[in-house]
Amino acid sequence: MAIKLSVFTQSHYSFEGMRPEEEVDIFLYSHWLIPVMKFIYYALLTALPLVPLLFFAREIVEYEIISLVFFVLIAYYMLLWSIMFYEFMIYLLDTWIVTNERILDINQISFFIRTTAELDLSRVQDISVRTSGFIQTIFDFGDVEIQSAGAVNKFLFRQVAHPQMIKDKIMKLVIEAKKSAPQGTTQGAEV
Amino acid sequence: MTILIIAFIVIGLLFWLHGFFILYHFIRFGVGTRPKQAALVFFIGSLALFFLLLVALIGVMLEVPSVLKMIDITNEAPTLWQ
Repeated sequence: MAIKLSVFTQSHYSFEGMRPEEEVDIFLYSHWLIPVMKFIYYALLTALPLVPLLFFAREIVEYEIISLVFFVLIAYYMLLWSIMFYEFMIYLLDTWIVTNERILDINQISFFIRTTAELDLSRVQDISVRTSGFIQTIFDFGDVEIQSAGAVNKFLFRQVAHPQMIKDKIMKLVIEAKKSAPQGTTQGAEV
Repeated sequence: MTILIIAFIVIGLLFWLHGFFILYHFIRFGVGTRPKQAALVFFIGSLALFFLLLVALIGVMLEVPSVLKMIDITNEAPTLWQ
């Protein structure tokens, strides 16, 4: 039982297409403030039907339609629950992975629509950090932009926590990868 | 009454179809522990909500005379809109 439940606590950062010798060094979601803001929005929507409910409470009791109102309310909450977790799913599956060999940008657009772009570390030319606005500065999050040597589009880590630290870590990995990679064997690809 | 049962079936089917897609994506594409934990929370919450909807439907069935009285606009009895 303990072994089966460990999938919720000890699952390794393995992903589809992971190479046997590959190790995940950085695994990123957008900053936690993004889903928290959405959660506040859904909490407000949860409280919204309580206003007319309190307003018409006397009539609901008088006409003995408590169960009917309860039925409609639960149906509304089921809709909210589904939409909220759909958005949370998009958030959790929209990730960036930096391994000791490459950078992966996994973009979950909607159900069954998903793009994965990858870039070899040895192809990285330049990394820049962009933090704009009061909120991003206070909570220390922003965009990390990675420019490659080839025709592959720029890689953008959107609204990630501690962008400067991530930039430094990636730069270290890039230096190591360039040292170990033989000249002329590196490549960038988009899937 | 039939309308409510049809509504229950339609809501239940759509809810679980959507729920299946969400769980499938969490389990199939999730990397690390967080998507698995989210899938578990979502599944437990979905079961609870569906159970509550079922309880509400049974409640409405027991309250049928009141509901019919309310929706029957030809009835002499006072309704919510009168």
